[in-house]
Amino acid sequence: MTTEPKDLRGELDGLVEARPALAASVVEQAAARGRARLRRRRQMVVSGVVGAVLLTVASGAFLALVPDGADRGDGSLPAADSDSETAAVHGDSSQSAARLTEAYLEALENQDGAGIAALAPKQNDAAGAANEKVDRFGGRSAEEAHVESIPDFGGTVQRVRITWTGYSGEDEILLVEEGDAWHIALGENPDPGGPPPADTTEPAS
Amino acid sequence: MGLADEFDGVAHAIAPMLHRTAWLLTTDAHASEDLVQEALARLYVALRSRKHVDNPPAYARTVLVRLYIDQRRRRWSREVVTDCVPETTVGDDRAGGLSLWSALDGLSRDDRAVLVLRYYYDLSASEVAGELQTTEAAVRTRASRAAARVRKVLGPDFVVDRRMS
Repeated sequence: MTTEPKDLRGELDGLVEARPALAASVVEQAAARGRARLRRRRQMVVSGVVGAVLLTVASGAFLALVPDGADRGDGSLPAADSDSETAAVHGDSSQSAARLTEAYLEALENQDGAGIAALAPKQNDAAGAANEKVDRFGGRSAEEAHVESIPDFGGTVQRVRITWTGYSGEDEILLVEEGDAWHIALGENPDPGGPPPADTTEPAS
Repeated sequence: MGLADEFDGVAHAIAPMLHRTAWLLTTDAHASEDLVQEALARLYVALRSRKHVDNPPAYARTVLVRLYIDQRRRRWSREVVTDCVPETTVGDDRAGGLSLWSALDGLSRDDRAVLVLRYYYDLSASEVAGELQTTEAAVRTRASRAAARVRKVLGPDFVVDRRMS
């Protein structure tokens, strides 16, 4: 008597049939885990914004202590406007950066494709799009928004520099690519040793 | 339909498929359940963060398989608690499942992932390569190595790929 040789597909089917039942709560728990992850991501970005604001306030306080006409230590001439105005400009810039970040997060949560694209510049016209978005959410006119890749990091980090019409301040935002998503990293430059290892478990959709 | 409803609908529909995949990769109840939950959590984040995910089932399965492979890189330890010894006599019909279990456990994570995608889901080498972010040549090498390992445990007559017989 001959028997048909077994095949792998059939054996795998048998193994699948013998698997234990999946807990009914797995979907709810996954949703809770996903919500917590989004919340943590939001908190991290907001913490970055708070840090940037504190740094700006500290630097503004330092400038306020330097008399008009004095060497400010950075080789630049004193600004024509008063120190208090300089501090105000820095403060405004950070606040608008915070608003920009909030707008980005809002766009993410609302699945606002245009908003995400504007602040996660992967297209060639990203500068224009970012400019429009900054203008819309920043509460004042953005003169220019420059988008540049930082080549040392293999294109995984992009820097967006925003200058304002009528203001001497400039905002700088770093967009860090993680997998297929972009995240705003404010107030700090990437580690010179390279970005943290990208999470490659999430495929491009 | 809201995002939460959309996720719930998709997640409940694809959870069994994800569980089958995770089970074939781990043959461990807790590990497979954790993989399913993590893959679904990432799908949740993706659905909330992006315009759309073209193919949620394929997306979630790819995440799950990559998570499984990634666990090795993170050096997560995993103990398999079992009350039966997997080593069995080659060709023993009664212990066929255990023999396959033993064969699968002898594979590296990459080889096992290739085996599951190639022979359970009937994906082409090109499709597997895309899913695992590797080359077709690497997939063929891994598939061949996995098949040899399975035949070594289950016997030379064991048919790994019906398409080739």
